[in-house]
Parts: sequence; C-alpha cells; structure tokens
Amino acid sequence: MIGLIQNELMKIWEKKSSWIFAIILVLALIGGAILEMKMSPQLKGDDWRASVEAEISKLEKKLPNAPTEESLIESGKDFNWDDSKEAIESKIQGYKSNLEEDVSPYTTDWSYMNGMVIGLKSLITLFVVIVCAGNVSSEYSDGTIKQLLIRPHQRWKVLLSKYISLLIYAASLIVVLIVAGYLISIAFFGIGDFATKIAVLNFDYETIGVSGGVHFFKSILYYLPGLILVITLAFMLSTLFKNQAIAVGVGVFVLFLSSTLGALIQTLAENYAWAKVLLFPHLDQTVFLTEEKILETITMPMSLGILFIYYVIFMVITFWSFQKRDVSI
Amino acid sequence: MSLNALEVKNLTKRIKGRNIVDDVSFTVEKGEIFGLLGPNGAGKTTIIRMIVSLINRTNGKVVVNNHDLDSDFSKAMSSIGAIVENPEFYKYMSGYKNLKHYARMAIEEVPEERFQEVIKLVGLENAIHQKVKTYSLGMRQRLGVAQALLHNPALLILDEPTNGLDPQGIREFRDYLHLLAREGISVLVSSHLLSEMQLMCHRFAIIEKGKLIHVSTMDETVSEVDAEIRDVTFELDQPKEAMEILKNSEYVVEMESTKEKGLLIKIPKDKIPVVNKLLVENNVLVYGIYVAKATLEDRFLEITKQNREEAQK
Repeated sequence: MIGLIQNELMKIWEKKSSWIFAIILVLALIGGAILEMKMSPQLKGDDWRASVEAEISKLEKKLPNAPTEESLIESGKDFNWDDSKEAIESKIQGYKSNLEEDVSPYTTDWSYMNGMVIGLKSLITLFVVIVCAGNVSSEYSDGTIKQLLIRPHQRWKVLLSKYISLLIYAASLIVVLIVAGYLISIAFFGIGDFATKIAVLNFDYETIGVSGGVHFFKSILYYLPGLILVITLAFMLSTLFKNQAIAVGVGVFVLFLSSTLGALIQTLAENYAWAKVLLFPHLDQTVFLTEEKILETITMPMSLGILFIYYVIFMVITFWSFQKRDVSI
Repeated sequence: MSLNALEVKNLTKRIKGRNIVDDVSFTVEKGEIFGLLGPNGAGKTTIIRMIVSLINRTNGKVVVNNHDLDSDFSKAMSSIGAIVENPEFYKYMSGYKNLKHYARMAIEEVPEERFQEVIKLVGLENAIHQKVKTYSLGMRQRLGVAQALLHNPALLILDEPTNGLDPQGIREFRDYLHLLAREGISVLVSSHLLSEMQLMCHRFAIIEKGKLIHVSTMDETVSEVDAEIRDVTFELDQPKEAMEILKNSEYVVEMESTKEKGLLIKIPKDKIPVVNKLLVENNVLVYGIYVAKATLEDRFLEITKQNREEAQK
C-alpha cells in the first residue's frame, strides 16, 4: 500500500501543473501583500496605540471646522466625503473602539493571515478540484488504467491509494499557503504576537477583538470538512467520467454552482425543509465562525452530520463503480 | 503440479443477453507460444482482458501457474506480465520512472540489477531517462515489453502486439518472443495477422463469434492441409497436349494453362505422382513440379468456412 501511495504521489508531482498551482499560491500571496501595503494605512513607528491616539487628536482638531454632509451637497462643488463632519466622527468612533478592543487598525502579520491568506483558500479548493477530477479520468484518457489494473493489487487498494495521495496533495497546498503566507506577512508587516487581536463579528453581529493567531487556525480548521467533501466529490466525478476534460469541467462547474446557488437555496429553505439538506450550503463550515445557525435551524454538528452522509454516499459510489467496471478502452 | 502456465475453463462473458465470449477453454503449456486467432471483434481481446482481470467474467475459471484467479488473485496476477493493445505510459515521466512505478506494484521487490538487465534486453539503455513523450512507437513497444518482464512473470500475455510496428520491428519482436520461450516463459498472444502468427506461434486456437472453434499445433495444421486439394504448377514442354491428356483424369479438379510452358492444376497432393506418371507415359517432358505452400491463412479460411456451413445446417 505504501508503494502504491508513493507511485501516486510521484505521478502527481511529476506533473508540472501540480507545481504551478503551488507557485500561483505564493505569487498571489506576494501580490496581495503588495496591494495591502499600498491601499491601506500602514503603521509608522512601533506603537500603534500612540499612532491611533495621534490620529484621533488630529481628527478632533479638524472636527469643529468640518462642514456637514448636507452643506457639502448643497455647495454643489466637487468634494471628498472624508472631509465631512459625519465621516470624521465615525472615523474617531472607529479608532476609539480600536483602543477599547485592543485591535490595531493597521495591517499586522496576523491580520494579513486572516484576510488575504484565508481568502486564498478558495484558490486551493479550485486547484484541488482540478487535480482530483483529473486524477483517475486521465488514467482512462491516456489508457494507462490498463497497465495499472493488471497488477497483483485489488482495485479498491489502487483507488484508495489515489485518494490518500490526493488528500496529501491538498494538505501540502495548505501547508504552502500557511508557511508562505506567514513568511510573506512577517516580511511585509513585521513579526507580531500570536495573540495580537483582530476585529471579527460575533454571533450577535458585534465587533469584538479576538486573537489573530487563534482565529486563523480556527478558520483553517473549519475550512477542512468542506474541502475534504469537495475532494471526494471531484474524485467521484473523476472515477465516473472516463474523459479528463469532462471530469474537470463538471468538477469546476459544481464548485461554481455551490458559490452562486447560496442565495437560491436560502430562499428555498425558507419554504421547503428538504432544501436544508442540499449539499451546497454545508460545504462552507467557516460560516459557523460568525453564525450559530444557518438556514435558520441548522447548527454546526447537524451540518457536519449532513456532510458526513454525503461523504459516505460519494465514497460508496466511487469505490463500487470502480470495482465493478469493465475496462475496455 | 501441472505443467500448464495457463488454464482457461468455460470462460464466458455475457453482455445484454448475448455471449460475446462463449464457453472458451484452452491451456498454455510451459515454454509455449500460444496464439489466439480470429477476425476483429471475435472476442480475442475480451478473452485476454478477462484473464488479466480488466473485465469481469460472467462465468469460468482462470488458473495461472497453478494459482486460481478467484481464490489466489495476487499470486496469479504476479505470474502474469502483459501488454494489452498499445502499451500506454505516463508520458510526462521518464521511461525509468515508468518502470519504477510498475516495479513498486510487484509483490516481490525488483532489484536494481533486474532493471538494468531488462533495459539492456530491450535495448533502451540510452533513452531510459528521457521522458516517454519523446519515444517512438517502437521504443514504447519495447518499454512495454520491459514493464511486462520486469517482475519475472511465468506467463507473458500480449494483445495485438505487432499493431503499429514496422516490418523491422515485427521481426525483432518475433525473435525476441522465441528467445523468451526458450528460456521457459510461456506466451499467450492474440492477433488477426495470420502470416505473423504462423511464424510466431507453436500452437494456436481460432476464435470466431466468441467461440473457440479449433485448436492445433502449427505443424499439424500445415500437414493436415497436405491431404487436401492444392494448387500445383507443372513446368512442361507441351502444356496444350498435357491438358488433353489430363482432361479425363478423375483426380484433376481444375486446370488452366499458365503463360510460359506451365500448367496449373488443382489436385490433392498425394495424386501428384499419378499425374506425373500419366504425363511421362504420354511423352510429355516434365521439368518441374511446384506445390503452393500451405499457409495458415488458407487453413484459417477453410476452418472458419466449415464452421459457418455447420452452423447453417
């Protein structure tokens, strides 16, 4: 079995595309960091609290002379919203709550990790779907499946070794994302404390400060069940379709559907109970970081249970069809 | 211990109520090259794919080197090396890595020396570390043989192995099979190229419409044909006179004069001396007698024709 997994990993890593996907991830991380540097205000100096307090006093000085929004509109000239009284007031409010919650408004390594790095997980999902959906189907497309199945190994073992190898590939992409993401964020934004707070919404839609490091790893953890299910789904498609292009196409299409059907299913679920057990809303477990329930009644354990049932169904279909099929290409 | 490398018993494949392979039984002895002959679509490939377990059997038993495929799958499959139609490889990897891949799937570890031995045997020493996508078809075929032999199988199974090979390649391949057979490896080979099979095989079976209709050795086949009506060309000084003389002979089935002092007669081989005597007695000078060599093709057509006639009765 170890030999079979070694084989499958060798085949994955001998393909250039497997490396290109990892490289794209790193490039996206660097690109994101550069944009972040340019677009959002960066801390100059060492103490963000001092910097925030200085900002507040600067804004407070401007406040008495600032025109109201109404007067700006009436003046009919070009103007900047940021100069209005209301905008300045809300900015001051924001900075004050930053101080209260102990959340730096400037980009820190862990805020970048929670923003850009977590955001790129959807890129991983896409890459993993492409690799998974192509894995078994390409053996059929290239005809190598014949050479693979005339060996002294049961078919289910061959298939299982492929599945495990794909999980390992997905895991390595995640490791690349975390390690490269961390290195890039400390290179751009400096080394910060693991417990540095970032602002997130809680269940009651209040902004609270939580440890950036904890939140990051929680997000990754909550991302995994959905990813495993998407891998399993793509793997099933790969086994069912003998054509690599079709398998990959359908896989990516399903992924695309799952992100666009959200609103539709939300509406359906309000009227029909069965819509709550459709696969798509459960693929993203990270919503449970900010929400207690989705679709009004579904809690995280229920959602995980639904995912598990889909998982078992997909696995049974995959292995059963592979075991039974006549190879006559 | 039986001496058979392969025993196939009552092999049947039914798809949608139709038997595309129907109750086929045969054995391949140790050190023998056994051919499966038949037109395209006769079921040769299906038989081979059932033996190597690419296709599920509806019924029947396959025993490889005394290991039953059902009860002793991994040992039975370990004894087989196969090329099913064109050997396909992972084109983005080198030939060596492809071999490594298949070696890892063997039950017993394949030592590095065995790699070198097999690579040398198929003459790929210089190209083995290049990617397979740079290989010619002949090189791929040779790499196919290498992967099939790597784990020292007792039985080599080849499905249409000469497809796509040039005459030179076919010749090399044939010599190569004979070499293997002398070393004690048994070979099961399928093809629709009869002339090729005649040169390659020791024994063969004819498959038609999923049924095995004939099994015999190649030597038997050729001598069997000797008793039957053959094309015999007599080289004579007076073909026209000879035709007159032979007109009333009871043995001559058909006769025509060929251009240069020749006369083509269809007669059974054992009646050639009788005809010759008749001609000599009538003062016709006979310079030579040429018997068209029986080919497997003739035999094959006869057997399949007979079989069809029997089926119609």
